[in-house]
Amino acid sequence: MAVWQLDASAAERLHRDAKAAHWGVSIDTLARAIERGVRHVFGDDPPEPMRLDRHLKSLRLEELALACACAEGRDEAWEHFIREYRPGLYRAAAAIDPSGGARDLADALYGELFGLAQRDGTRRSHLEYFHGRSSLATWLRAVLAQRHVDRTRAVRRAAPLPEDESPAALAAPGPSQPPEHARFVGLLRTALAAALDRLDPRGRLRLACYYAQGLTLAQIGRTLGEHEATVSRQLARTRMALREDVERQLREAGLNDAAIGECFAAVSADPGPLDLADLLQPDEGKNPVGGRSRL
Amino acid sequence: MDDQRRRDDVIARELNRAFRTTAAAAADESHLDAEAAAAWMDRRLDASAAQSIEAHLAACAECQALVATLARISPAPEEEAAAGAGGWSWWRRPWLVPAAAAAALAIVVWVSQAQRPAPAPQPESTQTRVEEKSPHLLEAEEFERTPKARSFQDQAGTAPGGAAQPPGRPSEQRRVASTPVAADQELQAVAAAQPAPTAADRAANEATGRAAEQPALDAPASTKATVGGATPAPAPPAAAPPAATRQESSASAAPRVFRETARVAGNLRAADLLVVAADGTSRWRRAGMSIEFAAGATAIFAAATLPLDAGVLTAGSSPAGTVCWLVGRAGAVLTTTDGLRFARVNPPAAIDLVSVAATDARSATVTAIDGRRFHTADQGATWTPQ
Repeated sequence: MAVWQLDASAAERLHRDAKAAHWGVSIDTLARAIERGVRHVFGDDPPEPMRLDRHLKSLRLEELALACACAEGRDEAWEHFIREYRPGLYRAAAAIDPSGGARDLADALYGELFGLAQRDGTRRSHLEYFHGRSSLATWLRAVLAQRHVDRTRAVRRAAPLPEDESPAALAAPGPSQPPEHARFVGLLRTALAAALDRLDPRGRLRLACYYAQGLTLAQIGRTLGEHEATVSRQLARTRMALREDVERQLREAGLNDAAIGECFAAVSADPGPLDLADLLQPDEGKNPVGGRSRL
Repeated sequence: MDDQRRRDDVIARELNRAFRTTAAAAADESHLDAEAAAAWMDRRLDASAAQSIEAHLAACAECQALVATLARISPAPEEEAAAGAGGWSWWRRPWLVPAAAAAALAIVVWVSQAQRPAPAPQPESTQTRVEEKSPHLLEAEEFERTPKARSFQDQAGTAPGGAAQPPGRPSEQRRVASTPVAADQELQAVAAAQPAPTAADRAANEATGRAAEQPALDAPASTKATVGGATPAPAPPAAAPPAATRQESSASAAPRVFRETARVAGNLRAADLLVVAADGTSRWRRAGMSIEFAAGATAIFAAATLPLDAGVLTAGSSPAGTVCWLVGRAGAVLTTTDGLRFARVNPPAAIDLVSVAATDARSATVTAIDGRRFHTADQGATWTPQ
């Protein structure tokens, strides 16, 4: 199957819209960058004309042209990039770690953006992976964030487990519990897991942003396109809906009001660790994502 | 009621433990890449792609961590505009400092000579009219007078020290008001600055019924506090325009939903923005940090290309067809002739712009927050003070 290519007239129009000539980027270079982006989104199959048109119209063409020029090593473009984007990159690194711990990530990324020499002598810039689907500034922050997350995860994986006799490895001795305690705790947590599974994706994501990721209301609002007061209100409503769902499930399980109260009391008094690793695991087919490079 | 509050506390605690325990667990093999995350954060995806990513994020702790990190390091729209990311470099140019000082001095002299406050922006076209209060402001004020306000405060949670947040959260950056009165004012500012609910909000509201109108369940009601991390809108300056401006199509048949509501507070915090062409053929609306365009009353909105985040925009005007002018903070003026691709034009002044009245693709008059007006007849290449 022939690889999809942008037709000449569209390439010329997009080149003009991108003002790519300002940076000395050729029509062919910009067209190849756009084609890479299209293949990244739609795969090798030719996209439907309407979807392709929508995709092309949504591109940040001027920033894509700048990225192409930088990837080609054009001095004027690099001066502009350094002036306009590098400070933002370092600000983002400082926001990740105010003590300067993420500065090396920004420096490394900047080096890759400038380009690494390949064996054949050609330079490959990481900017070739920018396809114009977002602003260049947001993309830079996203790449930096990705590297920070990857590094944090790698460090966590490499951290040694506590020694068998260290305090961290010893389970805390729990107080003696009533015989029904474990059953009540199990019932409530199972019900809560089921209630969480029934949440709509946005409600669940809002909860995860708050409880798992520790974002502020304002940050969640910016992420989800909601006002922070809306975020606060929706968090409260979702939590209340979860509680009502849990109570309903417990009633359906044959518990009366007193027993339901004891369930909540048991969980409230339970100091033990909670291993709910599979509680929020996605169901098969729940995730429509095909692969890392397909979103 | 106390029992319900205790139970909500238990749910919040369990959520905290459950999410944190599972945060380290990998969901599956497929994950967002940085570009997809950036496009999602920038609201550059069509609805189906955005929903697909949102569904993935809801279930994938790994990608949540990526997006959360991105959210932490992304500046607020106001900060980004001030920082001059991606094309705002003129704002930081050294020559601008003395120029701005000279402009400020000139304003002071002019105001003192005139012996009257600077005029507030007036309606400039059939597309712009000023109202005392937008429906949303009225809603916010009504909200503050009702028990719902109490509920709102309680639902926001009251942490030690007075900072409010939903309960169950072990730690969050908190900003504590110095006095209960100040805290109350901040809460009102946040409530008043809340935009009209989006379609998603409305759907969520329908799903949850009127649960939020019930009294708070999970926090002591004795302490007044502000929403955690909220940035209150400072009091508007004396010369600021009215609390809200609303723009709508001159076509009387245009539905009310097509109106634009732009809040002009001290910090020009933007609310919903919706512009309808005078002939009713095109519409533009703000969706997150983007502007969306629809040709025709029933057409589907598609993301337009902007050289900046739409959060800084305050007003717009469309004389006809696909021609549209948008203005915003720090002298931002954008135009499009095809409806989809906006380009920045030369700013008339380094000042927040609060309204625009366009007559065609080349001519428009903009109004600054201090009441000054500037006219261009050459698509923003040159501006003439009026």
